[in-house]
Amino acid sequence: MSENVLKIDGMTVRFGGLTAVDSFSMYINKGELIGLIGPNGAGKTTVFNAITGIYKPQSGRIFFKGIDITGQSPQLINQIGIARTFQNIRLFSDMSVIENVMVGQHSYFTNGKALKFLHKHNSEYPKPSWKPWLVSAILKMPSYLKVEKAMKDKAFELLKRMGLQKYADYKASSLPYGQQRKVEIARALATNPSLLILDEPAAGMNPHESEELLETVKEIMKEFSLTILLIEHDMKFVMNLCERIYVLDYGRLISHGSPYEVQNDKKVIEAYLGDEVYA
Amino acid sequence: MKKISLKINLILTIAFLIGIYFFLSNVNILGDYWSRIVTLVAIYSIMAVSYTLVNGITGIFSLGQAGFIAIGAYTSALLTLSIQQKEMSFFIQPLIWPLNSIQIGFLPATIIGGLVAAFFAFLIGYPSLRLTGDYFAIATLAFAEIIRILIQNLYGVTNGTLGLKGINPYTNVWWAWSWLLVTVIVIGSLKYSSYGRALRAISEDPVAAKVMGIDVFRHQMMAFVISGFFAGVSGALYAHWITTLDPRPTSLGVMLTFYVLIMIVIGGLGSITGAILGAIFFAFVSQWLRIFESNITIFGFTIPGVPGMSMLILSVLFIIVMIFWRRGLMGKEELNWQKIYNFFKKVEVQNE
Repeated sequence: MSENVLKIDGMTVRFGGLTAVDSFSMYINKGELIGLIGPNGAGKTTVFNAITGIYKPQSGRIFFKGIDITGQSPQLINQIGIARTFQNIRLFSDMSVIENVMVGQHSYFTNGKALKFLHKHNSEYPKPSWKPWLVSAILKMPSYLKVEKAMKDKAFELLKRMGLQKYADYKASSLPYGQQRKVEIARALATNPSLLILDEPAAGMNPHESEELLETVKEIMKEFSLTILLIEHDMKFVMNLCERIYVLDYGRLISHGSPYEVQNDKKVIEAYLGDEVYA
Repeated sequence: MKKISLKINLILTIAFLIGIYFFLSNVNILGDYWSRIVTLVAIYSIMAVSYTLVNGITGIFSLGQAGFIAIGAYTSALLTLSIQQKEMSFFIQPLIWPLNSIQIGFLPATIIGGLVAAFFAFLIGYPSLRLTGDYFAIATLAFAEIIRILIQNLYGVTNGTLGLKGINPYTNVWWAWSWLLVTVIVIGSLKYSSYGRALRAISEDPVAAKVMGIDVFRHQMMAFVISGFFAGVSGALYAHWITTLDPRPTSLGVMLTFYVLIMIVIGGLGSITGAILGAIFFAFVSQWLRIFESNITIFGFTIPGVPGMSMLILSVLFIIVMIFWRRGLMGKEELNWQKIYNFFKKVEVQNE
């Protein structure tokens, strides 16, 4: 039986009078790679923001591994296993590349609330144990230094995986655009996600770079046993990569299915190219 | 350029600390006036370093620092004042119990001053950290002003506008500089830990930090409370340095916040060494500029001294620094031996 990693039930997000996402439902099974596409302004990023807790949906429920996470804070949602990247790169630009990745691991020290949340919903998860990490961090106690070293090693490992090891000590903002996107993915991976959400990972990349990224995404998916949800405008990228595709237009789900089905759906063609009457 | 190894770094740092030690133990040679200024430099540095933790490293713009300094100053002063002195000072309204019957040592009084300030930082931070940017600045400014006005009117606790007099001048060079060392070690260690990375991440992009699993509110609160503690400590040292306290806006009010803000902006927001450099700059320059407040005679002409002139010149200097060093002297970086070495290497190359 396949397990639903993410399940959205009739989610609606409104900004004042504007309905950005209108009773949207979707599900993702474990190990799937799902695409979310749609014309500009269709509400794709809003869906992502709602899943990751940046926006609170007005109605509907979001379940992650069967646990209701609707309305939880972004940090809690991240700590229980959903990581994301941004459409407009949001690296910590004044910090070095490796520090950026290490920020992703910081929640190891402060995940008490998330563990409590998980334990409350499913007693299989371990009970949180509180340790005075802040004090040991300031006093640089061996227990802290050990974790710090492990973090650095893991961050370096992730950078190596993304082919960025030589940039480790560079300032994040000094990297070329395509590399910055990769740093963002490495940073997201550092938070130990089981669901990775990529917002236009190939935007602004040339065909060669985006092909390379496509390979990397496939590889990390296997390596870290991830489930991936992505938005992408590069149709070649989406059609090659995704097992199923959801199509949004004006905040509504207009089509859903395999790449082949979606490509031949009349509604999708209309949404992208306009109505036949006007064509 | 050559990279300085860890060993040389350590040796230089120890040598530097020993140098400071000898300087401080012989500071009396400079005379009473200058040794008091050297003490003030350390007090200002503690204020600046604790302030830069919030405004620089965490990137939340607080204007409430003077409030915490005032709380630390009053708390510690009330604890160290002798019982007779308290009876003498509080003639409008007697001091409330238990404060009127206790007198404790300087070190515990300083620590309690810091803890009380940290507690108030928590109380103030809890509602106002829900605001961001300028709104937070205004809220903290208002809270600091509320604290000042409370001090001005709670005659039974703070002696109101009459202020506190005859505080024991406990603060000497050693107390001030030892506390500075503690402050720098704690805040420096915090900055270069995982928590410090999280704080810097928050300062750059709070939304991205949240999505990376960082509880922004709790981390900002942590920085705010730690900063409040050291602000309280600096207030305690300040009280026992100046020996009289009063709640005028120019002494422990909003002006003090702006002075400390000037220090950290000159030094570079987010840099601990920068904050100390800014404090040194501010302490010395504001003393030197006092000459402009008295009459000056140049070539037989007498320029009459104008009160407040030194502040005017200081602001011009401040503007000049901001034009040439837009991110302050140090920016977000720290001054280290590598930088000093590189600097001298550069000078050498230019001279050749």
